[in-house]
Amino acid sequence: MEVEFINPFIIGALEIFEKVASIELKKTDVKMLKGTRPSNEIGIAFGVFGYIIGQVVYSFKTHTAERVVSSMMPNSSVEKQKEYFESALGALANMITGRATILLAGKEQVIRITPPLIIMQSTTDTFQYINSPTISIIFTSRFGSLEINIALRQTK
Amino acid sequence: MATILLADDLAFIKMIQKEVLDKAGFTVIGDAVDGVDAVEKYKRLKPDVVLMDITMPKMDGLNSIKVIKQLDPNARIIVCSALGQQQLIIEAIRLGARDFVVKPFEPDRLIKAIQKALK
Ligand SMILES: [Mg+2]
Repeated sequence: MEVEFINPFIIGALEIFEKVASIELKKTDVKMLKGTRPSNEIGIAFGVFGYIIGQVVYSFKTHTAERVVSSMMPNSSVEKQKEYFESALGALANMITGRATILLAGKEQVIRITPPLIIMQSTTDTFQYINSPTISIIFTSRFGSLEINIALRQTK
Repeated sequence: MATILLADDLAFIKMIQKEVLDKAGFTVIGDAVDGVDAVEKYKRLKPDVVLMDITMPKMDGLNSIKVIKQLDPNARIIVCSALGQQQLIIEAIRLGARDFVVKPFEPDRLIKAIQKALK
């Protein structure tokens, strides 16, 4: 796990939250974990492949995720926010990951990702989290915290 | 008015795209959830323009462009993806995409790309 893989995700998270949800994030902690299993109940997981491989898992507490989604679609009814809940979270995390891949790939390399997998009970065994060194970045916002667990390595 | 097919695995993205396109006077005639679905709907609906995501299940957007272009070399396809990496933009254009709009997109940028493709 290389430290230089981390900054693109921090930049991506700050930029995308501001742009699509008008939420200001603050990075409050960075720590090492033994795997990507998140500490919050709602997880959004991506597989990463190509020049860099591994996994990235975003997670929120349920009430935070609900407020983030409502902030992404402020003019929509509560019913509509519920209807789009999972795909809005998927889109948000997809855009952060996409932004990070642009910064990581540079001019020559290609990094691909899987579609987002939304895990509603991410703290239980519903998904194959990677058990390898993971860097966990914690952000806070007015709606609560966001955790991004990143386990990536370069393929050559 | 020009007809548009939206191909993206995430309903939220298509909802935002549709809002922007409706406001600009375009007609969204269908939406697809993956690259295979995009090919099927292209054949059936014959849209003037396709907005194509890259990361999708079953078949990704780049392969879907390849298949659609074989069926109809004149197909107008615009990629709308978060993966705005230089090599992927080059690949999309090489496959025949008219433009590449990076998500999150500015409504204006998307509309201009469609107007240009329709010229
Ligand atoms: Mg996608």
